[in-house]
Amino acid sequence: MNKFSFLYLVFIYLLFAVYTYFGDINFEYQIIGCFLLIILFGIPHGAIDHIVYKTQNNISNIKFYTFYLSLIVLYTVLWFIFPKWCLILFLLLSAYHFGESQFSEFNFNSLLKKLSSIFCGMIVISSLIYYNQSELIILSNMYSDTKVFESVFNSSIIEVSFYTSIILFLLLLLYEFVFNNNNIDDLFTILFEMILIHVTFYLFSVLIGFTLYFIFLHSLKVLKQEFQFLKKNTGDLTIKRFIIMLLPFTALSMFFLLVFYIGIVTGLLKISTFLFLIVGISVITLPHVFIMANFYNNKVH
Amino acid sequence: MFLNVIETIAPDNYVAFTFFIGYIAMLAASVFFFIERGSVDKKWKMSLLVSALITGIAAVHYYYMRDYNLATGDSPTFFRYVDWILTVPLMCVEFYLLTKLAGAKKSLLWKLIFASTWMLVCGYIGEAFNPGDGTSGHSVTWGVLSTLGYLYIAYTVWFGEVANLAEASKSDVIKKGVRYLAWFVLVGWAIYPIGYMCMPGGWLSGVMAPESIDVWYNLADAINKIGFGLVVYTIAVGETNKAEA
Repeated sequence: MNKFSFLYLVFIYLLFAVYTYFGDINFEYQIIGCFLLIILFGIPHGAIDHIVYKTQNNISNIKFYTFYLSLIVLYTVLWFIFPKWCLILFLLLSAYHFGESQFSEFNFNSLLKKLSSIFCGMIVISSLIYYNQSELIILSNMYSDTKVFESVFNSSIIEVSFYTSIILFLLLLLYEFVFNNNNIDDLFTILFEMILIHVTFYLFSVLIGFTLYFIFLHSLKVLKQEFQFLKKNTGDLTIKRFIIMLLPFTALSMFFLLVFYIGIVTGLLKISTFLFLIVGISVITLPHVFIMANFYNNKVH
Repeated sequence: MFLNVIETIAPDNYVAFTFFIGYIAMLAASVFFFIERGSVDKKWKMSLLVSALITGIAAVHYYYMRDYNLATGDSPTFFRYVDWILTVPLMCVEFYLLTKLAGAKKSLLWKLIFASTWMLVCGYIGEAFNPGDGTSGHSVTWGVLSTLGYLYIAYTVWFGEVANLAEASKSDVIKKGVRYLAWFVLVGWAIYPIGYMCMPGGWLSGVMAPESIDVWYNLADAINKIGFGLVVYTIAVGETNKAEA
């Protein structure tokens, strides 16, 4: 177990206390709390993609930003033509990315690592949807432009993916630890985190469950990896300097978020808040996944 | 009295079943640890004695809890906490004994004993004096206070003084052993706050039938105490063999 999973556990106990005392957490408070955590740690973990990539690869700023922004623009356009397929792509990208970062620190052989990370990511996404299906379906049907998402959340593929990924993942883990003599402590850590993920996704709302996972088991971990990587490659790097590095694009993301939100609220932009959030997060996820895949690949080699 | 009680136990009375198993398993473990003191190096005898005391104390309490439950059908909350308030601090003493050779100070011992006692006293007040009027303020307040003690112990054994001392011991046996004990604290002891939340008025009160909670407590207690002792035993034997080699 690492300090981030410990913090995750602390928050779970805290939420138990809150839920016991209040019975439920008002949706508005959920949004405020989750939004704050995502601004503080979620968005920043992707805000230095440019620094991370250019530290590992020799590429000009123009090429990098053209690549990054082209993906964002292309994906945004596709959202308005094929929203259902773009949602599916977003879920697959997230599964791949979450799995990759979840396994990045374990010493598995490369093929098993790849497979384990894919199944791990599938567990995260499929269990989030599986345990919160009714809530996601209600959310999708609240707005006319997200009704099409219901068929994705209601699909039998979610249940199949849920059970298949768990079984295959456990089998792979068993193989890795029995035949490749891996550290048993790593096995316990992986299983413990998986149990925590299932418990939180089952017990809490989709927003709280996802935010807890995203912040404590993903974003904070990736931030630490990025910090350690940059410290090793750029010489003397302090936490203060690292936070300053994160600020520009975090602030830029917040600025665009605010501009688009004002556009929605004033009626200038004719899309629902729910669709805006999904599209907004997914379009910055696409290039981020490429950058981080390159990061983990180059870290190994 | 005993033969009469045994005759009337239903075959599907898993609570009674696990009380019986718990009592005799802990007694057997206690005898084992006590006798095995003779097989280990002098510096590990105290650790095995403490393991024997933990399971021995639990065996006596389980003996009484078994009869209390059979006679009243109630969960023996009072006896459980009496047992825990003795055995849990002793488990914390084990962490001190295991890391003593790596430089653990008496202050670590007292901090862990205080934290474990705090955890249990707060838990007892929250559970045994719950007003039962449907409000949850009392149980939440004391539950949170109790959890602070638990989290302090968990942090200390995972990332704090105990973990650092185990690392500094330069012994793979001790490092691994302390890590296994840390897993017991993190996962094995989690049954206790979960059980607390399953009591009437708790957030998980609908999840399990009240009698099921006793089954889980009994199983968890046996695994936690005997398992804990077996890890300590493994460390003691491992280090003794190393010293003799």
